[in-house]
Amino acid sequence: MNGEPIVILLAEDDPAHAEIVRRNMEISRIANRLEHVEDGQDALDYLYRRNGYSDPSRSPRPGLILLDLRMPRVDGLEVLQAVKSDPELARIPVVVLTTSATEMDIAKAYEHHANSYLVKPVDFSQFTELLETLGYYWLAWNKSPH
Amino acid sequence: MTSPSLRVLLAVGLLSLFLTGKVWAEPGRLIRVGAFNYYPAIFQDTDGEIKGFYVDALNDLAKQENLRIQYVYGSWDEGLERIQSGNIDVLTSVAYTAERAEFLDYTKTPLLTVWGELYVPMTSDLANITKLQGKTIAVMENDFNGRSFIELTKKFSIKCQVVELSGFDEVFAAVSQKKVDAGVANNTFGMPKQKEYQLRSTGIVFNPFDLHFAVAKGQNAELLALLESTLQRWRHGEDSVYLKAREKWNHGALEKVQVLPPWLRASMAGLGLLGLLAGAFIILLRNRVTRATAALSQREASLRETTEMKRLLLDSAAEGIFGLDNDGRCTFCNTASLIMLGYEQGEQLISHNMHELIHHTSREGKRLSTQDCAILQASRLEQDCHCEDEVYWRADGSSFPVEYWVRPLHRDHRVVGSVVTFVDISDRKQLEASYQFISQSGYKNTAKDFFPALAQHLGQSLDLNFVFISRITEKDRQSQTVASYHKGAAVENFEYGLQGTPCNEALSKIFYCVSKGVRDRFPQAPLLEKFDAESFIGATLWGFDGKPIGLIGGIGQTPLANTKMAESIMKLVSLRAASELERTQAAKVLQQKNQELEHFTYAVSHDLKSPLVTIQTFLGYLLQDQAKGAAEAVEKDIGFISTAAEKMSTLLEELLRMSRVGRLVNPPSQVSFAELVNDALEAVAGAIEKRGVEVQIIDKAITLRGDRTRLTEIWQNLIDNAVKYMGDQPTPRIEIGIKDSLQEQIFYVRDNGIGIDPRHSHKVFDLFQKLAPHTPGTGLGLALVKKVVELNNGRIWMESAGSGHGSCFLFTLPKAFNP
Repeated sequence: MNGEPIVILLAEDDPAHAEIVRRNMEISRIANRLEHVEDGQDALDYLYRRNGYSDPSRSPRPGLILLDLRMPRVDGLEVLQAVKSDPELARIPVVVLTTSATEMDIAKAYEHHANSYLVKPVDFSQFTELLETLGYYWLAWNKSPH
Repeated sequence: MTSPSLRVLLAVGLLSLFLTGKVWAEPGRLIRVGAFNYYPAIFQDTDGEIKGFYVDALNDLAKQENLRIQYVYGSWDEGLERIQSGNIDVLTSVAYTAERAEFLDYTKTPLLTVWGELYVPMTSDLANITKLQGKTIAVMENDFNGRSFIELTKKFSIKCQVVELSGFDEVFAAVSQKKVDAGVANNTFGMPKQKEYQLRSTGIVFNPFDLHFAVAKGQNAELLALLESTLQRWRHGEDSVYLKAREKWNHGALEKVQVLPPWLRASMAGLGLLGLLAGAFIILLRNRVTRATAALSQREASLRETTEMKRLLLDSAAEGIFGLDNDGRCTFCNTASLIMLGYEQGEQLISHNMHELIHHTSREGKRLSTQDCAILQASRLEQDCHCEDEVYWRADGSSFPVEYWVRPLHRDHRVVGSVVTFVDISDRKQLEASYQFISQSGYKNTAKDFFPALAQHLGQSLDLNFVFISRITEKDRQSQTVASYHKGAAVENFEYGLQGTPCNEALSKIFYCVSKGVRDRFPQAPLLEKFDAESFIGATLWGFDGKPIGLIGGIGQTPLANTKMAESIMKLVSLRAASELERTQAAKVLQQKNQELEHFTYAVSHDLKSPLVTIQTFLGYLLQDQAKGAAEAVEKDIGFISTAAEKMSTLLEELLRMSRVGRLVNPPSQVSFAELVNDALEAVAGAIEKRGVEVQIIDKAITLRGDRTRLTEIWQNLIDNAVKYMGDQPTPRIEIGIKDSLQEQIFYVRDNGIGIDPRHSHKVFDLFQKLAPHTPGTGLGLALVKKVVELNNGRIWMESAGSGHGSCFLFTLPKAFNP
């Protein structure tokens, strides 16, 4: 494990869902820094350090992106496409976290090289378990290139 | 050196000197005599020479008077024509009629007196006119003698069957073969020929008339005087060359009989007696002859009229009509047949083998033998024949599809030929081809799509250089092609403006056509220039609602040859094309609707699931926090739960509203623009007041018609939307008005709020699409507005200079003006 904990970028327009992610990290004692943006446009601005995200210390390069699909202005798939087609950003693992379980969304996400596709379960314990596993997998066990 | 030919010439010259005793110092005057077939007076023999007793006598006259006679052979009618045109000098055997006297001078002394006689077989005992009751009599068709005979029988109230044959020879043959009981011929023919056919005269004699020499009126007085004096010498002088020649020719046929029959002498005596009787007859009935002559000329006139009438009838027929003899040779033809077959004169067909001329080859190019010829077979099998899948060939070598009928002609219980009636069915075949095309082409299982196939079909069948089928968009009167064809190949689809084009003229017309000079009439149309157009045809494609939805246009580089045909074909194909255009359009709309529905289901499932996830999860936290007794956390959890529940409720409410949009709630009514805007402002008054928005209405006296509640919803949602996205604008303003445009009224709602990045403006009308986080609402409002606008056949779009520059929503409502 690396000494410096990676930064997680959460792109989520629903404040309630963002709150769920935040709480679960607390419960799972994940101390990684979580940066929350409210739509795809902000996510891209953050990644490219534009429009209010220009300070590198305030907007550090994330080591993991949690991405909702349906968001205002720029949706999750567009963000995914931008990230994966940019050699600078392509290595960042992107986990799609969405309520949609449609075949089309899943297919499109993997087409655009999503690293993982997770459907938000309606059941409380399932959702918390999923987020816990997600944390362990990506933050504890997964090795990313640096 | 003396050549053999010179020697012959010398000998002939010497011989003629010896024979005539005269030296021909100079060649005599040339007299051109009209000759025709009138055996034995004058006729063309099988060796081509003109012979007969006139000829012998005239040749003698020529010798005496140092004349050169040239015989110009032809039909009787041709002789009459020639003397009028000055191509001959003398005509022999001319009966006197008032009409002919207009252009002819006659000799006073007749050349010959002719009368009709009834002939029977040698063995027949027919001798009295009353014995003719119920008998069959042969006459020559159109012969004066025959007609006089029929008149005669009528006077005596004798009913007998009359059979018309083509000539005296045929009449005599029929009598001789006992096909008929008796036959009528004139004495000039009958006397020499009766022996040959073993017939005798019954002594029933009628209708005598004189034949004269004639010259062109006022032209040849000298020649006429010479002929007059010669005739007197011939007819009254004993042993005159004329009488000798008559004697010779009248018995000429006799000399051919090898065995002299025993009745010959008696017959000769009888004939002599008959001659005397006839002479007496003439003297006694001189008055009657005069009257008869007048009656005759009247009859001749009526006969001419009948013949003329027949000709007029034939020539007035639209169908081609021609007659054939049993060998397939043309016996007559009418004007229509000449035109259709591309000939100029009847002579080009008459006497020709019609099969070889017009029917020799099949449509597929296969040689047709006379054995297979349906036309010839009709008279062979004595059956009527009707055919509509063959072609006739024109004089220029081209062919045309034809429908024809053949009827065998019966005369005297046997087939003597046939009459063929025909029509050119090119048009019908062409229309049939188009009918077949629209009924069989462009379906799901056929090779080609309908529109490209149609464009090609029209191009080929109407000989058009460029054909296009296009959809008309109401907006800007633009035309968008769905298929086009140029010189045998499909062309990429394109869009063009209708202004100043013949298409614009064609639109809303069932059929429109400029058969030539189309470029001069539409100098502004670029397509016409590009394709070097000469002619144009167009037909409108009508939609289910009776409005034009499309157009078929065709451009030709030559003047349009058959406008009627083009019209029929265009009308026919436009029916299918219109329904096809509407079907494809409907399929497109349906596909779009399906996609919309899919999108809707997707959005609904996501947006409804999202708050549900929130509720369930925070309920979990709530239970945990409650157990821990963390009151603050519990309150926070409940807050999230209630927000999510509220969101769900709003969403469901809006979905319900959305589902109602398509349904009319209220009957359509008249409502002014000001009233609609006021209704809308009332509905969102609370939000406006709360945000302190200044609303400005640029009113125009405009009345709309529609469901007032639905129309109000448009402005209501747009104003509501403008208020929501005002951002932190210190002086929020909304302007509501109508823009003037050339063709339509454009409504607008403008604000000075946060505006929209042009990159995202296309998404604003999508379901559940919110372009700014942290704003209230579900993202359904604009989707709903769009739906109402579209139900009014309108369109909606937005303009914004970008984030922070406000936005303007614009829309049209055509249906509210033209319900």
